[in-house]
Amino acid sequence: MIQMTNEQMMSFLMKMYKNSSEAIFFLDDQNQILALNPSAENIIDPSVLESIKGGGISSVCSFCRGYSSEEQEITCTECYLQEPSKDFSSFQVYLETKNRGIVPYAATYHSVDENDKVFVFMLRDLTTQYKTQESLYKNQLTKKTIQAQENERKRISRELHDSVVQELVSMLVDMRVLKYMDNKDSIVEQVKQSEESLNRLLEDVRDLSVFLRPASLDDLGLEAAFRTHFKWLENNYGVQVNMQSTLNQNRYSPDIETAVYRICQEAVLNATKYSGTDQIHVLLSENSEGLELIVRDHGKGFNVNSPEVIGTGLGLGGMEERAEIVGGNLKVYSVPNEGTTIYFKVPVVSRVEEEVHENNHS
Amino acid sequence: MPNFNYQVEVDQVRNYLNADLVLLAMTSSETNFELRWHYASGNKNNKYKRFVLKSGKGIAGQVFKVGKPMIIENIVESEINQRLYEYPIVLFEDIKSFLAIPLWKNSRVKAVLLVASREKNDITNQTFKELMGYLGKCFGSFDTQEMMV
Repeated sequence: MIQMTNEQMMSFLMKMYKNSSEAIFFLDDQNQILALNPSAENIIDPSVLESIKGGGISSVCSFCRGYSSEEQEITCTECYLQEPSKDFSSFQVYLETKNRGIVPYAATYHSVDENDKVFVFMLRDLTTQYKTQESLYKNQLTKKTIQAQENERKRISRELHDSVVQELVSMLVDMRVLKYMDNKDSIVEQVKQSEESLNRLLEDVRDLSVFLRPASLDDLGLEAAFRTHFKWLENNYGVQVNMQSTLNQNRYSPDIETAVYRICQEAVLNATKYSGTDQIHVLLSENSEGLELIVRDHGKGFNVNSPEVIGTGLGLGGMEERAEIVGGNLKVYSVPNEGTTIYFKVPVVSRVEEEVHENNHS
Repeated sequence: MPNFNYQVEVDQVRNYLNADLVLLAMTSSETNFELRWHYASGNKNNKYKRFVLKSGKGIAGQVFKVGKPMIIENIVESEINQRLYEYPIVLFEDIKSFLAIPLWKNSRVKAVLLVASREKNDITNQTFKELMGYLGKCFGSFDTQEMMV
């Protein structure tokens, strides 16, 4: 490396300051702006910039809207300017910008001269990075959603092919055989066999249709739908679901019923598949704040912060999405080897109130 | 065959093959089809009684539907290991290897006999041959082979 003279270094630093895409502010210990580079001038609203240059206001607070702390996304508590002892080598700050409103920036804030108490505040625009991340996330989600949809279709198609079509073919063969039979006893025997096949077929179709959308949910409400579903789970997977329900009313709005049903179904199925226990507790209750669903097992549990994805990885996200759509709140608590609790709360308007409401409007 | 005691027979099959678990599933009636595990020997718990077996689902269901024996010598290395929750009996009885054979009546599968071990690679094709040799042509009122009429 060539030894640089101080003059050369100075000229490099000056050029960097002038041409850098990062916004650079020099501040004193009173948070007054001493200097700012052209990039910094570019992001600040002209009227604010003018008053900074004219000496009217010269505090960062005139365009800063807060930073992201561990507790809050945008906050002024323990401001980076006030607590220089805390580590602010890299954090996110929200600024009021020219023409673009409030925009997040990656920022660093540290002192450059202890004696003169000069601080440097540097900012890098995160918008592009955010957009890339967001579209990446969206693409991945879309991919997974499409995949899940295809899998579901595959499952239904296979079910139709394997059970319904096969049983029908076997029935068809039985019918052909029947045509050539003349002994009454063997005809009766053959008809019995066909009857059994038909019964099986009937059950398969019923199962398939209930699995797609339980009619009991629309006709009889949550409790009835749950009872049918839990019986089905017990027959198929051997788990016992203990349901306790203290709902005051039978029916809620269809969106809420669907959300509660699907979230509970997913939670119970997760417990069935992954918890390793055969006892699952479901609690349905209602209070002044709304409808509450608790699904609890005392099984394997998992690390909530870094769950090991075993299935499609869509389950928990899907539950959260359903919760969000109806304005509900979903929480997942889990401790390895102690079990998992899913807690879902949703504000409700009863059907009766809703109807009164609608009638008043019409 | 009258007075055929399936419980005794299931116990004897287990003794003969030195297996950990033997289960027998049967359809309940001619017209109202329902397949369930009815007899067990060497079971850890009674959860097997809970299942209503579906044609085409699980071990018994698959053997029932296809009418062919099913042998998995080591479940952990088999393809069903990824979806064990579809085979609850494997989970609840801690099965590591098994074989299951269809039992026939009037050329239809009417029952399924499951022989299982809690050790991997314990149940093999050899076990299958021994079992078929031991059972001979019939097991109670069931045929061990599909009879061509």
